[in-house]
Amino acid sequence: MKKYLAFLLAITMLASLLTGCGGDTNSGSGSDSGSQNEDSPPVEMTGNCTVPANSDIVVINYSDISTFFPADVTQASEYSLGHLAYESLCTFDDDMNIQYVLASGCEVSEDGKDYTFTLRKGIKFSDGEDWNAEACKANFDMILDESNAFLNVWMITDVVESCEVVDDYTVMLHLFDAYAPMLNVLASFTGFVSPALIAKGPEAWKNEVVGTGQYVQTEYRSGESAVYTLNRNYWGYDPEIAGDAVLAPDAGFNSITVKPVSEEATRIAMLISGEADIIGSVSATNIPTLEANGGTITKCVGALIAYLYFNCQKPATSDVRVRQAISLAIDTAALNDVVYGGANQVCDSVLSPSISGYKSSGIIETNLEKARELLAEAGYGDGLTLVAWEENDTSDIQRGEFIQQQLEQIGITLQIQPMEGGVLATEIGGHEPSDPNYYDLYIRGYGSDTYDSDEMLGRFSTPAWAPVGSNYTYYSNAEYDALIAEAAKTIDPDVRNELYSQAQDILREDMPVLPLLVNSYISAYGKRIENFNYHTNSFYNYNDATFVG
Amino acid sequence: MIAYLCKRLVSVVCTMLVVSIVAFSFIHLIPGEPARLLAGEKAPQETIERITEKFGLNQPLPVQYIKWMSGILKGDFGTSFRTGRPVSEEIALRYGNTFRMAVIALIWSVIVGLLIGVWSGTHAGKWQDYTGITVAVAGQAVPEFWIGLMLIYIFSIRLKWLPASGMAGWKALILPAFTLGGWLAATVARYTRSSMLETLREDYTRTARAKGLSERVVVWKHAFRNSMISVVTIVGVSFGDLLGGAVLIETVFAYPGLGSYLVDSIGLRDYAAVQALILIISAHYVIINLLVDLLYAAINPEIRLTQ
Repeated sequence: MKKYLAFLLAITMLASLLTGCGGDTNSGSGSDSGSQNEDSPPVEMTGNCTVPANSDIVVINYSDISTFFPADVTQASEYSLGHLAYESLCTFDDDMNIQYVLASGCEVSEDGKDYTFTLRKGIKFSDGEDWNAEACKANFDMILDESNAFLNVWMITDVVESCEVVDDYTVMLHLFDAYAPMLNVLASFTGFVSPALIAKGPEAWKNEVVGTGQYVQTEYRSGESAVYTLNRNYWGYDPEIAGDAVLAPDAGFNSITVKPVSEEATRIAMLISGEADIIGSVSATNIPTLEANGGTITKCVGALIAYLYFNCQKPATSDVRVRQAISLAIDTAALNDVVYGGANQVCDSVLSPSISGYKSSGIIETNLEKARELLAEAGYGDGLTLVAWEENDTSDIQRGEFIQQQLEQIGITLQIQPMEGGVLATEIGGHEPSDPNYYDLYIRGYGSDTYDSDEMLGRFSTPAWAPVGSNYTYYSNAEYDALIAEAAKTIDPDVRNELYSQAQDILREDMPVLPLLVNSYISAYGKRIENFNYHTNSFYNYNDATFVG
Repeated sequence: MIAYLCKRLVSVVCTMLVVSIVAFSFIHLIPGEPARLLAGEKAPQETIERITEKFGLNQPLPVQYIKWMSGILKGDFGTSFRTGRPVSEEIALRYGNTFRMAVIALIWSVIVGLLIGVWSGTHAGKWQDYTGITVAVAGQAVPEFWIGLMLIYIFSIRLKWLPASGMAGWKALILPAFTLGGWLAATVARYTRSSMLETLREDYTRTARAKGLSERVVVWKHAFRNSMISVVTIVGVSFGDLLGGAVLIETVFAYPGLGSYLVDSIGLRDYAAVQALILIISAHYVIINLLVDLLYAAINPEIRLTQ
């Protein structure tokens, strides 16, 4: 028996060792290939930048990063990292106006089809390549090349036909047709990559990060962390290049290490224990815990709005009285308090205040009596059963249940069908709108990329019916469609806003969609940082914060 | 023995072939388009179609399966849709992490489990036994994510001894490995206890006692060694569990391992990654089962004969 036992143990240990070696060797080589830019030139201490050399901070994101390549980023967490290393021609300032970055100005032709950008001089990519008209054109040529099948450039490729070099620091974009929010599209694009990286081809695009941004990615370990080190020669610190847009000499941090931690309790523990300096995706219920343990909370009302879409092609919800009755029965302020601890903001428009063209239509006051009357008028006085679809996230399910309870009060039975995200993405738009198996109501959030009404109101027009666009209401109104089409071509902002104002009035009247709440982004930061906050577009503002060590 | 070994190896190959078909069909047949999930709900249909074509997802399923399998035979597990990097690289990065945590969890849980088991077994019906069993039952019953969060609270927030997460050196491994091994330690303790109770009643134990051997020699040399056999089987099979499914622990401790990678990949329908992970996790079980069966055959000739 003894020798069997020895044999048994030997085999077990041998097996462990063999697999152990394999695992460790692979992991070693994998880690090495994961880190990048090791051969990039060392950063010299020159110029005006006085950021303390010990200001190394750790930022915790909710989710892991899939890609850093600007043309492929789709997740909010990827965008926010992208902006550390990359820059576009323009961005949004904190009043959501266009602010020029890699361009210093832009002229639009009278017909609105040609955009001439003057590029800023003296900017270099982190690999030493110059930013100029040729570099700009190389980027557009890559984006417009359909064979690359990028994930997230369709907003540009739908509009831009070609890019032409006028002189060394001037480029002209030719549009298919006049498109007023062109600069918003460019401002929401993550940024331009080095022409040398473009020349390397698709394999390198997935792995290398070479932009003009304030930070350089110096290390990346898949699933673990990404390190961004301050470029002390960043053009933004040089008043001769940056002009009015120049940064304070001490703006920024020496390095920013970003880690993915999906469990909120762990993120909070990391902030309290000092392992992390900034944590994102904090729920309202955890604010007191953080504040009691030395954390400071910062909030931002973004452009992510929770909507209740009415399927206007289904028998009951095609009746405007039914849609109005439901809108009058849901107490959005109570929804905010019960499900979100009051952290979000009640909608007073189909847009959030940060979106250009926003107009307050007033918060809809709950009125159950009127709701019951409207239902009775529509012939549903004896009750009505509707089917609602939603995603199966915990807070989404709570939101659905809350709405279900509210609608019970006016005799509507809501059958909720929560679905996993991937299934939902296939089912939405996968049916004829009037299919009896399709939803009557669809409850889901939608975030704006361009902060423009063309995206946020245009999606309720007829050409945007899902799956072509994201009109999940299948609402169709010729007058509304005409307003949207005209506004897209109108360059004068006042005239455009007037058109969008009329469009918002129509939506309030016809009620194809009920805006519920505007989502707030909540983050917390620790004692080593002061005055940390968000930009209005819900990205972190690292430049106004101070490192106190 | 050689004939038996050959038979078993053939069955391993067949099993893995079936697993590959199941892994492939499972992820391809659940609803959800990878292109749509990657590009987001706003992306126009045209973009989705171009991405679908780029990934070769517009080809018939049998063609895709054959391409995938022929890649694997050449050591190529395919490319992750999500990151565009080879799946083998992504898995290699995480495999080492998972393996390291599983081995540490295995070592401590076996040692502690055995000690508790022997202690309870040799003090059957006394307070030591009740204490040991209570600890073991609690270890199996309390959810591991709760234990993980409590450990973070005590050791990271209050005492500040250990980091709450991540990969910063050996210290970061202590809490997750401890949490991961809790269930196995409890299982080993219970198996050892019952197995000790049995062997202590055997004739050879009585003989050893009759020979006048000290209680220590009787327990450790005669009873304990014989009760190890069933325990080793449990440990072997549980090692597969430790490697395959530490999803909750990896999530709580933000530890980049195979489990959380699998869950993320399923969410985004990252076919190549999901298929490779299912294959690898299944291969663990198949190999461990094969080793256990071979050991049985070596120990007990009856098995060789009857099969």
